[in-house]
Amino acid sequence: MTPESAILSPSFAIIIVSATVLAFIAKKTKQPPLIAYLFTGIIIGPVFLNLVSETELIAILSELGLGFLLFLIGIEMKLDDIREILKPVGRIAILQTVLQTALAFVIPYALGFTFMETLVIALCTVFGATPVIVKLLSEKDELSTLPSKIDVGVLILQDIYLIIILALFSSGNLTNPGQIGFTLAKVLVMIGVITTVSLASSKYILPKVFKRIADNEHAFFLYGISWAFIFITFSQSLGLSVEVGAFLAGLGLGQIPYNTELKERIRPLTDFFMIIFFSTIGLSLNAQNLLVYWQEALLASGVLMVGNFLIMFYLIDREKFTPETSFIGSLNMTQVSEFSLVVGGIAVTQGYIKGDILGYLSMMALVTMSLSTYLINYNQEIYRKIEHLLERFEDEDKQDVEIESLEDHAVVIGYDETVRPVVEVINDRFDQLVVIDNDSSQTEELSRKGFEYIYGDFRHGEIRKASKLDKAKLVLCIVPDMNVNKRMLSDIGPETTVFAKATNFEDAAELYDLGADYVILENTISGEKTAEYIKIFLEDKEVLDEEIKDEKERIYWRSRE
Amino acid sequence: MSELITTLTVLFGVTSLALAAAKKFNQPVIPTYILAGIIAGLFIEESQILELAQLGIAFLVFVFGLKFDPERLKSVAKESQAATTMQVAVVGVSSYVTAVFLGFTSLDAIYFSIAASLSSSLIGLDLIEREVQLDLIHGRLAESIHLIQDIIALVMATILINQVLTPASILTSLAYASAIVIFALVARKWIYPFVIKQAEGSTEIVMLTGLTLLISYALVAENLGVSIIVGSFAAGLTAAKFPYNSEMIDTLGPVKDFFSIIFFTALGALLNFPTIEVFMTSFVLVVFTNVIKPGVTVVPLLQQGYDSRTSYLTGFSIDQVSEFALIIAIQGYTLGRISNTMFESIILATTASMIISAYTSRNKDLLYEKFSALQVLDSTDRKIEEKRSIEDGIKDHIIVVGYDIQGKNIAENLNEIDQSFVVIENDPERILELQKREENYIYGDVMHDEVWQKARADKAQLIVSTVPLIQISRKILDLETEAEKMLRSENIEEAAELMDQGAYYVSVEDILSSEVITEHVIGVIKDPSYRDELRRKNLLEVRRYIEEEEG
Repeated sequence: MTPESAILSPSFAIIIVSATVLAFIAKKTKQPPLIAYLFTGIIIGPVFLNLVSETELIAILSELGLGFLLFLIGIEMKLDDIREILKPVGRIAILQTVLQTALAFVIPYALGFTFMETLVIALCTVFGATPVIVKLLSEKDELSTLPSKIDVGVLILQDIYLIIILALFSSGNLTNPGQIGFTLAKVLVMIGVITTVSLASSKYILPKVFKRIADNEHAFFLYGISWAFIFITFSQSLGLSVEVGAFLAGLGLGQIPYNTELKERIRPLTDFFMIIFFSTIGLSLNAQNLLVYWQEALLASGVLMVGNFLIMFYLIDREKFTPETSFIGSLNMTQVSEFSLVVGGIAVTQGYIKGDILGYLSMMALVTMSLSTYLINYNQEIYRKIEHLLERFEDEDKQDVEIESLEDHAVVIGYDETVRPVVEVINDRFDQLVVIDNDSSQTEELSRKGFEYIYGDFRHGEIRKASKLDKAKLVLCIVPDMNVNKRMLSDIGPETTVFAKATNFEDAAELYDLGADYVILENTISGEKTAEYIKIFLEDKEVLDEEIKDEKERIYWRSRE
Repeated sequence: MSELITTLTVLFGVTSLALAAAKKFNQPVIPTYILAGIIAGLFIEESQILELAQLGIAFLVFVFGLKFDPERLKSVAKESQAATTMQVAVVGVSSYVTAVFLGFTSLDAIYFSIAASLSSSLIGLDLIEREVQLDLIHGRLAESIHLIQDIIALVMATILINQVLTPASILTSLAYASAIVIFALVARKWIYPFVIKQAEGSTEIVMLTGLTLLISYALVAENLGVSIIVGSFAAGLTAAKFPYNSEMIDTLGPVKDFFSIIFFTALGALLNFPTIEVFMTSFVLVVFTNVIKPGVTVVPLLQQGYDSRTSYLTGFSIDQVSEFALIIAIQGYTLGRISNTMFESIILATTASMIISAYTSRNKDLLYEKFSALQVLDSTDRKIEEKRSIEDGIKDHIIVVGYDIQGKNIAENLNEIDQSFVVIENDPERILELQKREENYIYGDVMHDEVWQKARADKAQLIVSTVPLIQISRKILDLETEAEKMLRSENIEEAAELMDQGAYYVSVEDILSSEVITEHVIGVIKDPSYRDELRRKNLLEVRRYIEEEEG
């Protein structure tokens, strides 16, 4: 085995290069990249060019992708945020599953499939495509909005439902109700166990562990991943899936203050695996089977999408959320998940259905996923277009949970002894203050203070976005890293006053040119002060004694803190 | 699939524990991974992770290429050209001969001497980051040595991929490798900026572009018979243009971390229980790396005129085996060219040397004290006579330690009021400046008593230090003189301690800065026009400083 074999494995190379080319084209034509990946698989796979079939490496990377995605979702979930919408989401999820299964049952039955086929199809097409939805919403930075939270909540519950289905199908015995009940109970208990372990560690163990290693970025990343893997193994050994374990691992980590930074480190890894994952969906499609029932599939897709939308809209609206939330929340959930292919695959193996039905399912997944990608991508625009039509749904009783936004605030990047007194001053004079720092030793102290504190590295996009630099009034950045400063200066608005720091004159001049209002040059500040003191010393030492008395006292005082 | 998951879980779990232990003892990361791999290797099958590990190599070298700054190389390389060349030549040849003497084949011996003579930029630079930041001379020297040796490593990787080592095959592969690298540099200047602009705003496409670069170069390299190591490097080099590379480093960084952890632990897992041979060979290699190599580096540096402290500290910063040597070794291993004994010895030796190097780096000042007490290779005395310029009979003067921006500022002010002073410096460049301005100076190591004698510390009225290192502050406080001492410190506790021990005043960066910043922040909040005035004034001053430096 040569070092070359892994990267140069032709399959892997073709996938990456095709995905890149298609992604560029997608960007130029303003399509979401996800479509590019889906089509990559279709074009290079058995359906068209048949250049590539799935290799083991690709299968591994792909499965890891799903795991990491759910891990990421778990981290995003702040239990506090969810608590408020937990009940409505629970109700929506259960009712949605029932209603959608019914709808999913009616359609194939009406199209003439057998009872068994209909049963399998119904069970398969109920699920929303978690990866697609999460990815698109995350790209649009909408994950923390209310409709998205509702959607993700429902999707998670659906995933648990899915696992139960998988367990049932795999056990091979669908006919005995006692068996079904037993499996069901087992799965629920397992999930309960893992959840408890995860949340308990989140409260007692994780904060301590992560605090100690947070300033070492390698360790931080490694611990996060290890945690995920431990849970995945745990979950697999209990007969549950990779995804459940990963999600619950993420859930535990999501509750500690370091989660933003962890997310940022895991995200690119997830993106990498997910690209492979999406590209390989197309690889598993069989061209013949795909087209056997294409007319039925198109019809069914159309009906399903409209039906799903209406069901979700009704359910969310019923919980007294605003029409906007109901609309967007429903619009996001109109597709058939790629999981349908997984479940379908198992059903074929167990002999419940034949390959042509799988082709029918695949076609539905493909069509609905592609169409809904556009719907999700343009959900805000679509809403605005039909806003007036929804007026009849408005009601005083309906309101959304408020999400606070930052404006005219102050942002402090980096926190050390220099900045501490300045932060007090700023905190007094500004309504909103955000402090960003990646030194874990300060975390506890800082999270207790009155301002908003984000633990993380400012170079990471999500953290920069969260600090809303363009709306800030004052930015103080004492990290002398030119990369950080340049990024920061490109993010600010015209009204923002910026204090930056540099280690040499050329950098300082550059920062001024880029828009900084004052650049702290440490050596010059203390050099000037020291020179001044020396002059006084030479003139009259006693005068200097007086002059520096205060400063010396402050040093003593602060050193004892 | 679940086997792989279990394997990875064991791997990551063991590595996490190892890392926790390592952090307690302040050990560096890479040897920890290898050791974790050794432990994990008892429980897992290496074959499971080898494919993933190889991705690790590619990504490691790719990111190395991404961060590579060809312009910086030019300016930094000059500092240590002579010393590095001599060191590599001497250590390279002597280690080769030793290996042959120990009974290894010629080819094995080449691998041995690569491991012995090249030091690691990954670890090495981490250890001296602070010194480079403070622009201390030995930091610059060490950085320079590392960069040059990285290039040498790439060249060796290219040569060794050949099946048969004839002059013809070597030249061919070198030619192809150079072609690839040159292409990369050209693409970096002309093609890449255009491509990456298309991807702007989408981190995914940036990542995909990086992956495509990596794969494309790897394919070309393989087809031309060039090592994939050079291919990955060239791929990274193509994208190594700030600010484009930072986004790619951000996105592919974690991917590289993931796979490179697997790589290093896999190396550990591949180790069998060391035989006597392996043990002996490793030991010899470690001796070369941690004793002979630094020793050989110190001599030319001293010759060039650097003071002994600088020379020794530089030596202590380069006493490790390069991770490139590991990569080259595993390339040899998978091609079946290197014997198992040599392969395992290199891994073992690398682990040991990196651990030792972390120790020497942290304690280099202490070690230097011990060395200079032994009077080994010490030549300061002789140098100092020639390297000073100070008025006879100077007294009531001010001694300024360090001629950086601060020191210059102070000197300027003192000249304005006609106050006599002496500057102590150990950086040859700054001494040149002092000579040009005809100031009083002593070129030497602040920690040596002779330097203070020459500076007439006993007759001075004030000693001002601009260097925030605690050992220098302590040394000054120990001096036998009536002079008042103004020191500098980086943190408040230290400052308080120094004042308790007799310092007249200690300037703490942080306190002075916060005062100034607070003043300006309040000013900006109160009065909108303050902002423009502030900017204008300070920008002018900065420009003035720059002009002065150039002039």
